[in-house]
Amino acid sequence: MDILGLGSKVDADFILDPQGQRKQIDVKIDDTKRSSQYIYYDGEDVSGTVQVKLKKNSKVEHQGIRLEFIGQIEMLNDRSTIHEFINLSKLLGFPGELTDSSSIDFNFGNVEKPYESYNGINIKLRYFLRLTIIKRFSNNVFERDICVQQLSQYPEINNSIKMEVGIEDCLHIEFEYNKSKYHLKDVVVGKIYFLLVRIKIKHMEIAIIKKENTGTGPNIYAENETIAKYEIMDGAPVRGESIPIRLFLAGYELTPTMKDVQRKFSVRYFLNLVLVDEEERRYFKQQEIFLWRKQDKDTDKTKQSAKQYAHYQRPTPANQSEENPTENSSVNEVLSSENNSDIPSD
Amino acid sequence: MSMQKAVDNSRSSNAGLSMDNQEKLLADALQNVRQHAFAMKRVLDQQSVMEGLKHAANMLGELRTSLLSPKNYYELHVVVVEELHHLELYLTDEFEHGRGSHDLYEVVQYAGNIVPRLYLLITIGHVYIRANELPRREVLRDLVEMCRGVQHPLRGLFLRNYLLQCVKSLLPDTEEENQEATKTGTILDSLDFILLNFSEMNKLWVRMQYQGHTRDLQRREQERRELRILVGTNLVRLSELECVNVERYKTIVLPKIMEQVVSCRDSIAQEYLMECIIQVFPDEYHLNTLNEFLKACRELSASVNIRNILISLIDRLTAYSTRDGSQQNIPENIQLFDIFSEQIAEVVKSRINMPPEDIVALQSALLNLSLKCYRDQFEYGNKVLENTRKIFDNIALDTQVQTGTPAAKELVKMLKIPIDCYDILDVLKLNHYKLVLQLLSYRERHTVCMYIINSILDKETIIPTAEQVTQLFELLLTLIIDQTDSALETSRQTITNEDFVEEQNLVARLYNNFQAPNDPDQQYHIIKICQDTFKNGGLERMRFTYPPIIMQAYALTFRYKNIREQDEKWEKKCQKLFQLCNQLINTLTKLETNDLPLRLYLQGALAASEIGSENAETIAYEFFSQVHDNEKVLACLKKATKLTTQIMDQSVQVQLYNELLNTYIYFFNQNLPDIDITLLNSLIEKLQNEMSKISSNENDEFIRNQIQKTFDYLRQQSQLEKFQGLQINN
Repeated sequence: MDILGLGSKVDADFILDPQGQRKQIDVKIDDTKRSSQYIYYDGEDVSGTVQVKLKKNSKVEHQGIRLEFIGQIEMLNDRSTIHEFINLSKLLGFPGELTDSSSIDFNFGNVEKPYESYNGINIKLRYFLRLTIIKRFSNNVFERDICVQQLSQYPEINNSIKMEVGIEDCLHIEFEYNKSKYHLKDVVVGKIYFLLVRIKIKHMEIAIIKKENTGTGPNIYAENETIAKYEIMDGAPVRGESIPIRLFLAGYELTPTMKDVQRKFSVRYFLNLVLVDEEERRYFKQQEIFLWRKQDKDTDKTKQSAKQYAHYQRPTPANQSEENPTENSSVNEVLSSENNSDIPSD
Repeated sequence: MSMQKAVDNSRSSNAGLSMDNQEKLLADALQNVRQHAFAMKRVLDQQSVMEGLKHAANMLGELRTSLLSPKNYYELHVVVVEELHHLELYLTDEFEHGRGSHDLYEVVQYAGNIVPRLYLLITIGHVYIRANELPRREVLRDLVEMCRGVQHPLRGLFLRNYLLQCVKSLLPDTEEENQEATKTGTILDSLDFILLNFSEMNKLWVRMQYQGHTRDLQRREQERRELRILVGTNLVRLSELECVNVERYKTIVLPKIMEQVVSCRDSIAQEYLMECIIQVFPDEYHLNTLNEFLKACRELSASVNIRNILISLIDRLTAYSTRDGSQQNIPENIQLFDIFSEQIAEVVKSRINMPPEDIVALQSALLNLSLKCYRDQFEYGNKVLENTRKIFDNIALDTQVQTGTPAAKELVKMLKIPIDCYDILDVLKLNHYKLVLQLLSYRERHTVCMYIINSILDKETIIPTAEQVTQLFELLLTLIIDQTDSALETSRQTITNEDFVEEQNLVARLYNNFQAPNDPDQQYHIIKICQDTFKNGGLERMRFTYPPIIMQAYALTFRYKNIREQDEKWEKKCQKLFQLCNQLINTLTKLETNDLPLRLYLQGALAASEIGSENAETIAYEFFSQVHDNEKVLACLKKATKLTTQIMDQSVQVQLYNELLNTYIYFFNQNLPDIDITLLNSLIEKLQNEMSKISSNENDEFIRNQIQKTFDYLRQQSQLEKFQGLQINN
């Protein structure tokens, strides 16, 4: 950040976790760059030590040393638009002259960090510390990103997703996912019932799709990204078959669902059930799932291992009152086809 | 990536079917498998499990192909599974050394393609169960459920086969009360597992049912049949579980299997599985589930060859019940015969289009069962025969089964069964046997009759009463009298036909088995019956059938003589016998040959003389006079003379000349007009000439004596007026 290239006399370092107790995370900056960042949660102090290093036998005259804690949203397709939603500032040193390397402790107490760090396609939500050595002509600026994770409680209501879909007289299926809200290390368990099969299905897969919407009004950008593609059936089923689904989420790079963050962007996730027939036509149904971050705890070992072989159990009818009873004869929703003109006539 | 591959497959699927291409495809796939396997083993040697799993998944990716024929897919599968075994061994070894990774069961589930994923999951599951890493019960349940994801018949069958193979030694086989049961599972878990796997595999197999062009039908069905063993292995596993007993088999195993078998409605599958059930499970199970099994039989598809299934079961139980030579194997509370009888009737009723040969074959099996399992209960066998007759009468009353038809062949087979397992006396108790025999046309009847006779002769069965003889003759009527439906054959029924000669010789030999050992009167009845029967057989048959009767009659006279102390009427009876013989021989004289009746007459005369009863002389006279009255006697004598001159052995010749001379003298005494002194003289001269030629050893001494006696007699007689001109030297 030393524009004139003269500031090489001074360097700065942030010591955030001298005891080495804070968790770090490997964050993808872009396609080639990754960095390790400390993880912080909402309301936590952000504290540490700033080390200002001077080259030997040099001195720096300054108008003051300032440290800021910043939370901001960057629109990547429009670099100029940066929206700060947090800016806390501290003066670490009064104007004067630095003649020696020095360490300065700091503490931002109980910092509100309302959003999760996010590094998307068109948008970036980042938290960082910025140290500025204010000088007459050009300031020395040093930044250090931290990663904020937003922990959630177990959702109070977490219904299963159950739906009957199809193409009239061609294909009727009923699918069920055990929940509508999954934590990031959760496992999606479900089943697909084939009620009517008159097309030759070749295989079936489930995809996790991330939809990132940015901007408002006329300047909306929507990005769809397939995070995972997971084959759950090989070959053509016949009527009456039920196919199990078990999809572990922990292995994929997922974030919690984010809705309308600072009116700037949303990140939503969908499970896309795709059936491919022998002519390579694809029939699909997308269903949104809500992702949330669960606090990492040493959970019960047996419970942890049991999910490895979890199977979908239909909830008892009492818990199902909110859902529509399905009728086998009619199709509640229509499966989308990749090319609508291409729907087989039977 | 996987999507792209799928597109390629579908495009080249037609090309994949040609045979040359198949070999190349297989070779390529095998090549890929080996490369991946090599890489897998190399990284495993470097302790890199995750990398090893990746290579394993790549290798397993080859099993995703749709291009190979079932046979070639099998070849590929064998090699892949073999290579996969390395991974399993490596992981097992890791656990044995306490270094096993704990999260692999989850890790492998990230594999994007389902086929490799499930093969890996099964492999890890297998290792984890053995290492006690995960609860056996849960893993087994999980694996068998997750395999539902592969709905492609061929790939699914082989996947589940791999599953079955892996868990072979892991299936819990303990009773429920076991403390550890919640974790390790019980026999019930094993049953759930195998029965589910079985149903799923069968469904996949049935789905291979070919619906395309008939041109390929046979090849496709053959390919499908070759895969049946994969499905059947499930049943074998079930039968190997020690905790499966009759009760569990009856309440859990069989109903579940049957549910699948019946509901799949595929005849290839049904035929195979029913056969498989019969063969893999123990006899006791079948005995206790007969009604269930047979009821299911009725629900099978109409094109199923139900006959083979039922026969297979009946034969198996028949063999079981007679094993160790006793019938104790069948529990008393199981009415084997009644159950089969009723159920077969139901099956026949439910299948309107069942061909008659199938029905007969079923009845045959039932007959076999009843005769072998219920040896002493003739009513069972009789009932089967009665039903068989009824079935045909219902189709068309009193109509013969056309010769050479499958039904006729089956009937012959059926009729041979009682002959094989009973002796004839017991067969005679099956009074419907005859009625079934009558269903057959001439040729098949003939076959059966010959079979009966040969059996009697082989077994040397003695038929001791006239009643039984009568019954036997009723069976054998085809051979005894001319048959109305054998017009074509009749012309060939003469002595010039070797087959006919053989046939009638057998009938004649049969006579030797008609023996009432301690009851001459019974024997007498037998003779009468024979006469009454054989007299309808025509001259060509009598040639064969009468002589034994006659000889038997003569023999009987001796028996009467032996018991003359006890039977005061013996002489009368002997006389009756001689009269009978006389009558019979008389009939035989109608034949163009004379030597046979002649010999029989002479034999009769001899017998009469030996008996020496009061009227023996009269009888002997009668016999000779029969010759006299007959006028053919002279011809006989002439022929005898001629035959005698042709004899090579001189001593025999001389002896016969002597006999001839005696006979001539007798007839001369009887005043037979054509016999005069000149004739006697020439014979005497001849005899004297011949006698001088023979040596004087001891053997011939007897003959010389005989001749000397004749000459002495003649010298004596030469004094009489009647013998004037007799030239005999002193």
